[in-house]
Amino acid sequence: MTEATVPNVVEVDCSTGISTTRPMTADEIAAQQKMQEDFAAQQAAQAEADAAKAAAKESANAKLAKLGLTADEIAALIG
Amino acid sequence: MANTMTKIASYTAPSNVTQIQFTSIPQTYKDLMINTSARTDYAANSWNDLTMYFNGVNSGVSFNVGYLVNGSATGGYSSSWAGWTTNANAATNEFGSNNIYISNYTSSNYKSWIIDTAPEPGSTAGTAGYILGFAAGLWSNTSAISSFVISTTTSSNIVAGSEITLYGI
Repeated sequence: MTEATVPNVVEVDCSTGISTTRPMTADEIAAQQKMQEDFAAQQAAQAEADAAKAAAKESANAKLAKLGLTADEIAALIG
Repeated sequence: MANTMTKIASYTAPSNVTQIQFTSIPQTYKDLMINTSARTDYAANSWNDLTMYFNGVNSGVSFNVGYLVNGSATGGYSSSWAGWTTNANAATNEFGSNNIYISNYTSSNYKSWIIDTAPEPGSTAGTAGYILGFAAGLWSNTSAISSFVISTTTSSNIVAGSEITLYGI
């Protein structure tokens, strides 16, 4: 990895107010990548859970409609 | 100490930057507030997620964040989520706004915080419905907070003109 492609970090020292820009260290890059991977995995799991919940809701609505409830009645029932 | 809000430090990015760290945070206040006005160069969707962690610790620690999307409660991330921001697909010059309030940051108890976030305050109402969010977080760590890192959750940069300000209360 050349210096031109190394992501940069700004350090703001609150005791002096001085900010310093430098390339990220290998450890910082690794930590950043791990965080991004973890976050992507969590988002995927969340999306899967949301989709399952939406499918269950749609299925429940269909079953209520088969029982004769109108759309307004279903909406009133489930809020 | 008087019950006032004091600006500790502020940073406005003159050019794109991957990560911003605030270090040597004074231990003389009761609470901290971080305000961000940020945009990223991430080119998917019309928003991006910010992440935040304290004292260089972003693993082996339990972050618990729940949030509301457009008025509806939804699930939580177990990560160091720090709100939404705009990205390369948002309207020109539009920056997302976040406030993060951290209570009792020097105590030996776990650290809790609240976030209010508005990634798309004036643009297309509702690309994905992400208009306004609230979140609560918990860092299960007893150390006093002396530094924090803010970056994005994607391979992207915080762009020029983005601003982060730290206040002590």
